[in-house]
Amino acid sequence: MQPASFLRELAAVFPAPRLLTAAGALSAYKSDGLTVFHAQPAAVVLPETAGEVLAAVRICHRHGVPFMARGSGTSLSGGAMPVEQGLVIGLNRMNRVLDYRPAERVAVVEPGVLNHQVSRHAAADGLYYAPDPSSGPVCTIGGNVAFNAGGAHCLKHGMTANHVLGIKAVLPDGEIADLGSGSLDGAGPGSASFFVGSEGLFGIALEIALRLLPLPERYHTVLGAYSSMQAAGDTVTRIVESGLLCGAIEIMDRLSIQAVELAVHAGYPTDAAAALLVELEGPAEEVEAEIPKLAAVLERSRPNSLRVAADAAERAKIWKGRKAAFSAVGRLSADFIVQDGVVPRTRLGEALAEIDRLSAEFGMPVANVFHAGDGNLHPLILFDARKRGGLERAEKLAGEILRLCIRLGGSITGEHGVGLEKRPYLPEQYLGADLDVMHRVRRAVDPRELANRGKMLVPAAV
Amino acid sequence: MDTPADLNELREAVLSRDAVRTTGGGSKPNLSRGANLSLAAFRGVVEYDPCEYTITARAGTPLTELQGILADKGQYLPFDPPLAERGATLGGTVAAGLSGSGAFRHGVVRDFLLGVRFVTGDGQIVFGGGKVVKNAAGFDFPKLMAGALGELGVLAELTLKVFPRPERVATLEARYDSRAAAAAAMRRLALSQVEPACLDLDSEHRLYVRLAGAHAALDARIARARTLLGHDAREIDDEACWRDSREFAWLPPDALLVKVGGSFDRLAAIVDAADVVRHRFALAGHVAWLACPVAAGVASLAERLRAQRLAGLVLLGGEAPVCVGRSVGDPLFARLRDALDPQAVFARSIVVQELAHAASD
Repeated sequence: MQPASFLRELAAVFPAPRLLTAAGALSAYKSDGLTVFHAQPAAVVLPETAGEVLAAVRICHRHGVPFMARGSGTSLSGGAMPVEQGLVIGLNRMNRVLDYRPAERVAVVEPGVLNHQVSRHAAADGLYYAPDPSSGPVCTIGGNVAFNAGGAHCLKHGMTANHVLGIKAVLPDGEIADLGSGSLDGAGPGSASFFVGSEGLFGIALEIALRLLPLPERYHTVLGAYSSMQAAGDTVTRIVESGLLCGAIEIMDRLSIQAVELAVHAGYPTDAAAALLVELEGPAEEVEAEIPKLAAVLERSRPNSLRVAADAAERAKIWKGRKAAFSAVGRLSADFIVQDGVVPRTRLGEALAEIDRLSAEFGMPVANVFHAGDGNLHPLILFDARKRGGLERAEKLAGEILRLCIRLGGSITGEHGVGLEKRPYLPEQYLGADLDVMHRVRRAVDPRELANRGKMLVPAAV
Repeated sequence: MDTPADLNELREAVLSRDAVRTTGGGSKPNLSRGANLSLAAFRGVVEYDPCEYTITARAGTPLTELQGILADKGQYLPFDPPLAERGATLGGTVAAGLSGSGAFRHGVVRDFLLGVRFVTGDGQIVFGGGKVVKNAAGFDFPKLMAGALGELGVLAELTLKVFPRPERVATLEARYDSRAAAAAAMRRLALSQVEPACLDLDSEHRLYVRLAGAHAALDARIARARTLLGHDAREIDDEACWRDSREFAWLPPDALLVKVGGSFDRLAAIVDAADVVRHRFALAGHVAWLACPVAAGVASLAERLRAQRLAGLVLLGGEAPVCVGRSVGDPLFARLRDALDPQAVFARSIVVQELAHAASD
């Protein structure tokens, strides 16, 4: 329980409908997209202005109460799970586009703006916001910034950090910081990009300047069916070797294909062991010139079938299937957990074989759907939490997959972040001084560890 | 001058001095004034797997060497680093946060930096980031180091993302009567789907448009770019144009070179003053490179930059403050610098902005 004076001070800033303290109202905020973790906050506030966010942070600082900023709560790593008895600062009402400068291809937005909202805002000028996490219709830019969200087009376009030009943030003690130049390049250190992916540990972004790109004039989307994952994986290597810089290269395994087809009827090849989705994008003539190159590589790869999206509607359908993969596979099983480890692209085959072996050893099905172009795996581990030890075994299997990614020279997370779930494995990826320096930096920014305490790093305070 | 050849020697060199000032190839003399630690001997590629699109090299590796190795495998550094012919190294380029005009299409040096090994002010050897093209684990130190001028640590080893080299490049030049007309054309190109690789505008209102891509597609794209330019566009020698741009061949003798980033309107308000003798906008007007006479110094420029809330970095051409105009540092950077270099062993040229608000109220 937090002292009454803490709640009184909040009540002086937030009218009753925007200050939640009743158990029932708080329960909606106990978890994020990873529902196996939950915690009870002391209160939730719903600010509508930057001034109100500042006030909330300063009240927390004064009372030594930990706080966590929350967008739509779609984190898949427990990153948006509250700190027990801390304050949740819900940012969904801060959803304004503050400054939109199409001629400079820049939009400045509040943290509660939805990912897709940015592209919709810019569409009339032929512009869009490139990072495209599958949760794009509901996830917020603030959350994307906190966890350096990725998506299917990262190989060519990069992650959220590559599209953030500046951030106005409130640091954990209530100080305001203007990070970055707000333009494509400037003089000075990369504080804004460093803030991206810091999982809320450096405070809360109040304004975010985003880089916009012209919509690609043409897409060419191909769906190939293969009789083995190995064959699909080898094809990725051949495509990369050919010198083509694709917009996206995705692979789905049999289990994922069948689940997706049941869910969205996108025309995925249900008899195939692997589906390969390759997309070219760019100026019309450029894509036109690349198509025969890609076709040659694909034909040599001996697919069972190749299907080219005939129009925008067919492309949208194929992508809908890919982006619905998590929820579709989820329908096959009572429960599932998803990982997002990364391996060097050339070791994908090895990684998948080992995941297969682990799946057999644990007796738990694992569906694989991943961003093959950048080696970003997404194994979905299916289990039944009602069975005794089901969750624990699934987590153990997930841990073995993370260790595999580290062993192969990759990373435990490509885009979901460490959060709470992968925290035990961060010290296996970063050893000794590499990890110490993260703690040192965290304490320098937030000595009392008030901001999103317990995520990414084990707190010293508790 | 210490010239370490391995990581331990580098660490020893940092620990042995109260003040460490680093240099690489010496291509940005204003940044390496008073250097006592040279990374020129700490060089070479550590790891390169073309199929991964990644390369790891020691900080003292000259850009020309790196670019040669990449070109052999049909790849390149998409951020188009400047000053290579003057001997710029990878480490110096990252520390100064310098990108060339080609950064318009795919991003700046920071966007391509995946991993960094550095030595902190108290002699810790730290690895941050990763060696794969996608990584969201832990704090992203590589991003922070780009542009930090070595004030958070001596860069030792860097892992970069690289891309396949375009098959063909071509450049159009169009000259306009006014900056307004040139800027309008520049914006038409920037918003178009022709996807220019570079978009520069010089003092004489000449707009330079570079297109890069598949051989078979380029003629058609050039034709479309011509239409967008409006009038009088001619194809020029691509290689010479962008070499001159990267090497600042347009810089008059006895001039300081200052880099400023910001919105085009604010940058345009700066370049017209008498003490900017020449300039060149890059990245579709997001960056201005300014030439100021050495004799005049940067005092009045700094004043105008502050008025426009712009920050400048002085790279070449005689003695001047490193950072001018609005403070480029921020309270977050200040705290990070205290954490990574508690004894202030490294330079502290980066001026940190005044507190915007008291920490407690």
